[in-house]
Amino acid sequence: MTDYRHEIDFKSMMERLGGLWDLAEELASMTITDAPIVLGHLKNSLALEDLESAHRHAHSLKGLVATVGCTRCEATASRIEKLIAAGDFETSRALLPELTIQLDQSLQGLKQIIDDGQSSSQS
Amino acid sequence: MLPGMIDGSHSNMIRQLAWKTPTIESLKTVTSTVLVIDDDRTILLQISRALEPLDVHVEGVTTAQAGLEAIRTLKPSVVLLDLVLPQTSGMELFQRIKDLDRRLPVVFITADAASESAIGAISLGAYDYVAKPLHLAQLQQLVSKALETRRLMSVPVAVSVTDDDKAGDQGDFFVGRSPRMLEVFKEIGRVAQQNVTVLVRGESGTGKELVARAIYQFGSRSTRPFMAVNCAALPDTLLESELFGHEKGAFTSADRRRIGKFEQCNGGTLFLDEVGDMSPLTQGKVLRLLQEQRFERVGSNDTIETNVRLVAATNRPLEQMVQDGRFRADLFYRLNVVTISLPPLRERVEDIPLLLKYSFSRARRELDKPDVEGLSPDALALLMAYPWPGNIRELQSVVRQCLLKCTGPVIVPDFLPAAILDYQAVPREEVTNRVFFPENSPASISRDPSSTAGVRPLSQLPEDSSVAGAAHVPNGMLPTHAQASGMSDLPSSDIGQLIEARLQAGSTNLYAEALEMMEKYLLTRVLQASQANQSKAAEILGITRGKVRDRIAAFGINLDKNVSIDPPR
Repeated sequence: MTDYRHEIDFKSMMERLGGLWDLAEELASMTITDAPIVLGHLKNSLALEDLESAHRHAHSLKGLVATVGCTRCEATASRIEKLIAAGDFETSRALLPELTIQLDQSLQGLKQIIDDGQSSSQS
Repeated sequence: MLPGMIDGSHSNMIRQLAWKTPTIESLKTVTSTVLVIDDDRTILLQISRALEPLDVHVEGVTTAQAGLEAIRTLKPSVVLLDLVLPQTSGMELFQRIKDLDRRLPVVFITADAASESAIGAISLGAYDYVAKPLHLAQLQQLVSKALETRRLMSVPVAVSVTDDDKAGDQGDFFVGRSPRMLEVFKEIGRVAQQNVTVLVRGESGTGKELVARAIYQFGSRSTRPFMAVNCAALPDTLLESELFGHEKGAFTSADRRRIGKFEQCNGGTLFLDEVGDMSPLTQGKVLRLLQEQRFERVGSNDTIETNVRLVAATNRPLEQMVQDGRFRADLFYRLNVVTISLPPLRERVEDIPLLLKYSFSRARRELDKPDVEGLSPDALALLMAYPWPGNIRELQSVVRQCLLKCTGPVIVPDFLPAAILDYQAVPREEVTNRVFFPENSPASISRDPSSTAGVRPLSQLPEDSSVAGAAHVPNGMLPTHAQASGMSDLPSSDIGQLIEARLQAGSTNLYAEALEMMEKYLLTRVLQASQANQSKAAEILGITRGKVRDRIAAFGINLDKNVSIDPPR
């Protein structure tokens, strides 16, 4: 099984959260549940070329993954958000496969961290 | 809808965060509500956890409509608002929030620290912004400051010259009947509406911040922000950044642009406390701001215009500092347009009984000590004789210490802090077992005329009764029982002596003072004679019962158990 924990900037996350492991764990679980759904909304909005909705969902995804330290994923979501704001739906759509893979790997990294338990916070 | 997410479709529901369900116990102590308007449940969770130590109640809503509804019904102290919301932008909502409550501090939550909209919102009056991902310690600090700002802007400064026990309940209180304090109140009234810089001077603990808040609340900028900065509490570089803001990268730890107080407070009033502690560099920048109402953020060449009214305060000898070259003369002259000088407590000893009364009333409620009835006369005498170097702040602290220490209904000298007991090095005259009740005026008159026995009339007190206290008691002797305990049964009847005392004290309002003294004496004496029967008193005085009632209210005469009146001055 591939180790995706490197996708997560765990150290910065724990620093921001004041070392609260239980909070980090809860936030990670929420993100694992919510992020794929927000990505789905983003894809639909881009397909419909609904600028306002697509921009909001890209923005939401960016914030959601940033909270749990998914830095690569955050950067791609941020790029898409800017492209949407500029009205560039085509390039935005072209970035979706990359974003999907990054999100999948990041969420797997989060799951692995949760499975490791609190020992992760000390490593 | 996302599983487990707060449902935006239930826009009218104000959802309480599940992880912060308040218990009855917590509701008893929670004093402020922080409202979070954000559709990301992870943000709500983080904020809730970050603010746990602040003892606030956190409410979360996901839409603009629910946010407005929550502001109307919950009256939060601070709002944390996402810049991007479903159906509406945070900016639009912000404008509507400001229409509802201009003083409500709104902190924007943005996913982009350099967001131009967030900066724009601040120029329109938002309190500050936080960037995602949230840093919980910084967030807690920011919300703490916002709560303090809200308190400063909202808690009324009650100016009390009456015996109304409830005056202090409404907010912070400004108690005093002494001529020096009445002069301060008048000065506040004179300058509040004028758009001038005010310098408040006085020793530490005399209430300089209350003066600043009173000027703000009675001034024409009362609907705009009020912010306070303590210049002595921050290192110089941080102070400069706090006042003027900085650009990202302006110095090592400047990881984002920061908006300073002069920018945040545009249109409002800024209170600069301990202004004598500013470095020459900051003095120069503040001077320029006062002259031109312009400044630059640290690390920026862009000039920003602002419109801030400044109220400054200091306990430092600015004139001497100017002479020594430690304070800029031009800044001193700019600040010193109007000066309000607060007297130290030792120079308005006559206010001590009233201050004790208010402080005890409040502390008794806060510390849940309803059984404590008051002070014994000898304890009061000790408090009256003490010079109070820490002024009112020290008095409030002493009151709390007494209440925490006392084991019975009456505070006796044993319960006083050592500093007050140690101050007394001379024998005190014998005291009786009479008790001074904070509910009543310090000077009380029993309905039973025989209870006046043993009380010395004011004519037998030291000449300068207006400043009777430790600093003025010959040879350090304590005041007489009647004077020290404030328990003389009647206000002065010796108008001649009182006029002499007031002349020596440099009164500039003697006509009104003399009439008031005479009227107080007359009303109190006649009410005593009529056994507190107002109709009978009106008949004796030859005035209407309404007039008697009016005078009773004006002078704070309490008819519940005793006929009470001000301490003599």
